Amino acid sequence: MLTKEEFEDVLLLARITLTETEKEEFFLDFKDIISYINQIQGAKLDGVEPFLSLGKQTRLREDLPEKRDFSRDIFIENMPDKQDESVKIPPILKEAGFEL
Amino acid sequence: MNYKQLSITQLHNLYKENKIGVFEFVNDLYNYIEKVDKDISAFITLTKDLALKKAKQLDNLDRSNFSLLTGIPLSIKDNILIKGYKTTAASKMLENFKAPYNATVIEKLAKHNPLFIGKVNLDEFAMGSSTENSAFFKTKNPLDTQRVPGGSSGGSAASVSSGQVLASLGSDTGGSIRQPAAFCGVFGLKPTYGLVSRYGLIAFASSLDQIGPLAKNPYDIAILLDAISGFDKYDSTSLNYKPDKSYFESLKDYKESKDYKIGYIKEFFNHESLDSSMKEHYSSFLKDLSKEGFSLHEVSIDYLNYALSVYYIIASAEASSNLARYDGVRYGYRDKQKDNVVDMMFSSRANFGKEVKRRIILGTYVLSAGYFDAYYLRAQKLRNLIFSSFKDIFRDFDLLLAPTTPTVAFKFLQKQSPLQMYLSDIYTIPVNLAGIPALAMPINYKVQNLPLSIQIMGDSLTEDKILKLATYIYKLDI
Repeated sequence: MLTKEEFEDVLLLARITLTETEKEEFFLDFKDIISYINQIQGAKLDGVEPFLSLGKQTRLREDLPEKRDFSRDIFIENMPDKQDESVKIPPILKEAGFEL
Repeated sequence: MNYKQLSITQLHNLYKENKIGVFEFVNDLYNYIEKVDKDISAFITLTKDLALKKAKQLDNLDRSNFSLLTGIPLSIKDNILIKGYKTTAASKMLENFKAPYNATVIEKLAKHNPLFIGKVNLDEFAMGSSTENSAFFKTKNPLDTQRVPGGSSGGSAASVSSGQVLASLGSDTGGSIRQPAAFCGVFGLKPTYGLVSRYGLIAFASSLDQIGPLAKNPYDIAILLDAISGFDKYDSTSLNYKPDKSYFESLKDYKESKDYKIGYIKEFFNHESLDSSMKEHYSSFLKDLSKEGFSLHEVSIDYLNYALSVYYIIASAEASSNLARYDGVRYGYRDKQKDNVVDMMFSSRANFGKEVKRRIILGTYVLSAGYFDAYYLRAQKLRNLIFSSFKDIFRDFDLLLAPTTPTVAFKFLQKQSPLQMYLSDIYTIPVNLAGIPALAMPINYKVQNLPLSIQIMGDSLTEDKILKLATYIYKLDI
């Protein structure tokens, strides 16, 4: 059965933080949901292929630039922090609050 | 003007007969909306300037050129991009996000010059069945404001049901058009996967999502479907399909549906979670159809008991991937207090609502090393079996019937666990797994004074058959 530790690992992978109270609540909900979906372990699936979105091949096109109606101005407006037309973010290499 | 009763074709005729000006109409409509939406709260953003500008333009045009959708007021679920306006997905993550481009469905609709009235409320990132998961506010059911409108397209259904718009575009991943349509007493169609472009729809689960119309009658559904469907090179899952006749035109032959072989799904009509009064009413409804001369047979579909699990594994897995982009970097909410990018990402993502976090966590888990085979892979295999079960049935049957929901619209604060909430989607989910089309329509039976809804399912690309039967039932008024 899912341990608290495994649950915390998943939170790291998902890049999600929860408060301690949220962790308790979510962990219980999570165990319920996992219990329910474990029903699929009982299904006989020998020789069954996984569903591939309607069996279509990936459609390709020529690697040529295309004009598309996309507002550069609005995109820049949406940036949380910027310098001229570039997105600005805090340091990447600075030590984080936890280990990954 | 009885906005609640007004249909697309009726308004179109009023315009053509010069009985009303477009600007005059929409101006009055916004006054109505201002009053009504105080109680309903369907709208996140009113795109009034856009609609009024268009209305003025239209009043200067020759009305003989008006198509069916010209000057028709529509609401758009706020996970579909309209360029230049906020598209929030009802999330704090995108509270101030401005759409840099139009969704393909908006471009296609715009060719007909409708009036985009506003963006309507939804469960955050389309995850939910009641619109209570919106980060901003709850939308009320116009039929009983103590009750939820359903979700995730609750704003769409409520805005149509309350007469604030004549039709809406919603999205459906596990029932998010059909269930709110059922709860609010309107029509809602989830088209065949690939029939309507997803370009410009904020992605939740890419192999399940479809945009579709909500309206008050099958003709209006057909008119919208004609406008929004068709191949789009910007959506690699888009189908290269065009029907021989428009969906609207094909409804002239609705009587053909009397010759269809129709199955009703045993597992659903007998399901333990179906409200007992509803069960009785559905029984009467099916008898009414038989008496009218429709060919009805009980059918059974395999693997349906796994559908809910399969759906939650696949949808959550795809959601965890699609929502990875919300990291506070290029757009959306960023926690500016953090001094390094890792903390910033974690902290920004803390701004997701509970249900969204739950699904991202579940999705991450089922895709993680050690669990991928046991969950995601198994779920995709079961999905294939469910898909094949439907394919097999449609070899012998034209259409299938099922209830849309196990209960009528529930009351707010009827505290349910996440799992209980998921169970309200049992009748709608298999349709998304199989990629087939399905319509939810109100029928003439009530429980607790709320209408029941029947679901009509068809094989891929048989929306014309579904709409013909819906028209017949609509005209029979049963």
